[in-house]
Amino acid sequence: MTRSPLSARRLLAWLLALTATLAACLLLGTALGAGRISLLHLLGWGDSPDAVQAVILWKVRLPRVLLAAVLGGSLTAAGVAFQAILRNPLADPYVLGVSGGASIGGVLALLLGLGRADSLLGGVGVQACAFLGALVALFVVEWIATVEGRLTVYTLLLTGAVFNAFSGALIFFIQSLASMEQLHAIVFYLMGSIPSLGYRTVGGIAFASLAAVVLLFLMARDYNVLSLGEQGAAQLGVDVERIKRRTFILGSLLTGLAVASAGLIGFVGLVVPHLLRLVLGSDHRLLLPAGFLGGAAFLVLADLGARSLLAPNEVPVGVVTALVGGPFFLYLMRRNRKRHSVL
Amino acid sequence: MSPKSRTRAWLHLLLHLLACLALLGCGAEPPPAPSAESAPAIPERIVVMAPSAAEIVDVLGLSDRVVGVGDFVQWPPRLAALPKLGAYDAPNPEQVLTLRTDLLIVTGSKAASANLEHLRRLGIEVMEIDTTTYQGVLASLHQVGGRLGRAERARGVERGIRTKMEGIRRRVAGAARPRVLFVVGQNPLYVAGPGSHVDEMIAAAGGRNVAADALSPYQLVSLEAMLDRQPEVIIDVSDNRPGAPRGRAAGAWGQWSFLPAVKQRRVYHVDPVRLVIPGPRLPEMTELVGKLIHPEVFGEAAAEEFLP
Repeated sequence: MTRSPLSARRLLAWLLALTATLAACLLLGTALGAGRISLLHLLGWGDSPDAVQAVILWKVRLPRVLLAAVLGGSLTAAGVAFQAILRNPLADPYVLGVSGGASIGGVLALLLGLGRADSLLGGVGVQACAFLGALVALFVVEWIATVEGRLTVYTLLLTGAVFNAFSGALIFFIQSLASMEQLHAIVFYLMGSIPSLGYRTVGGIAFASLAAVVLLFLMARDYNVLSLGEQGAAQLGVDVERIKRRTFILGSLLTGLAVASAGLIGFVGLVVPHLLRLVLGSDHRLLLPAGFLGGAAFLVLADLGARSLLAPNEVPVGVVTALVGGPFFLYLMRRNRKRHSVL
Repeated sequence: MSPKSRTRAWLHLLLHLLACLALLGCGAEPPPAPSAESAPAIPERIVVMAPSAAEIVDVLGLSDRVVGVGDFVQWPPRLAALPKLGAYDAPNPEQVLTLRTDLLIVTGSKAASANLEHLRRLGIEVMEIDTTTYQGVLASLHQVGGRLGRAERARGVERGIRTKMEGIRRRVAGAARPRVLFVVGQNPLYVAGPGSHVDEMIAAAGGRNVAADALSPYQLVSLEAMLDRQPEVIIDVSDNRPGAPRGRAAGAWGQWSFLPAVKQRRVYHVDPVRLVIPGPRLPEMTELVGKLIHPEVFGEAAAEEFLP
């Protein structure tokens, strides 16, 4: 597919448009929800919200909306980067095994009762253990997939797939030992839902994620060259091994952080990159930052749906992302099939 | 066709035939229905899978016939010490047979019906009871009592339960009805909704369940919606760890200091065993809920009533 080459103007225009979209989604996500607080309250018109509404807005809803944005952006950026180094359109953030490790960590923490506010790790025990699990998975997969000092795409994909299958079995084993109440918690953790964490935790996650996304962005030009194939890229002077290893580590950290904070939220890291590729073309200098902004907006909207469609009941956000993202993606793909040959 | 491939073709055919025969055999095997001339004997060796079923069997004075229980049966102690056969509706078939079980009592479950059907074909009598609600508990009482020759005793137990429940309802008839949140799980937030015995207990004990419009008896709900409804009493049974803090304390709810329940120090942490097992203890459990909602009517709950 050919597109007009990326100009600074086009890059800026798209990023501004996506930033505006994200801002609108953040506003919408903060304005709507199960509690009775309207958009008018938020904008300072009408009656000022009472104390209860203010607490709900600032301490329950806003941190959750912000976390959704950060996680959506992280997962999408990780998806874009993995698709670039694996040169495989089916790659998503979970394909290389990190999610399996994170799930095991989180589920074990739930089994041991570390999720309680009064437990050892003070309310974020599950998240901490899941991140630890992701790190372990990262090292194990990297160690196994490195053959003679090289990280080959083929072994990386296979190792990731086998590691995920193994983790799945281990989780079923843990579930078979859990009590009914623990089972509920485990199932819902795995289905993915965005918690209301404190601002400091959300800030920490946001800082780490943004740093990783910036580091990925620095390799955007190399990803473009990599689309010629590893040999071609090497001939053009790209240190392919270094790029692959760095991307694998950074993408895994992003994914690990996301799964640790909110469980397995599927589809964001697969659908949003492809959607954007359909619209923006495949220059990674635009695709990576656009992916972060677009993924953030998408997950904020999906979480809004999860918590308010059936209010006061809640639906796991992973269900919403898959139910909305899947058909929409297929529709776009079919509509675009005649015009481009993107996929 | 080479001789070798012909042999292979024959082998295939043979295997198919055998498979078909095996399937036919399964279908043809008559279920061991009780014969018409003699009424089925009263079972002597019983396995009860659910905690609620165990309590029903116990109150009918049939504990000594129980030979095995489900994993979650903790009460009465004599039953808790028996061999454990698995979760609510998934008993280990080999263990069921090894224990020479006459009657297997499970709580109703569509998911496990294949497993149960298999046991029925092996000649085990399977009784499914539904104890989700108050009416379900009473019906189960008669179902179990009728089959095990304790119909009269079941009627007596029912009379007792009804009288006590009526008494509780009468005592709070004129009282105000505070908003109650019954927490089954935190992070994500799970609460008791309509169709659960908990919902009925709250109503009988003179409260209003703030999650009365939830979609299912135990439902994942939005934290902000529950905070917005400003519960005046919070009963939290989500912590099932042994030795977890029990009693009257805000715990994690303390961070929502605007809640009436937190301001008036009416957040209670109770061991789940005290409140979540529907069965013959329903009146006692309802009275405990009453003590938490209307201490001015029922008196304050004693410290040990929060403990397992």
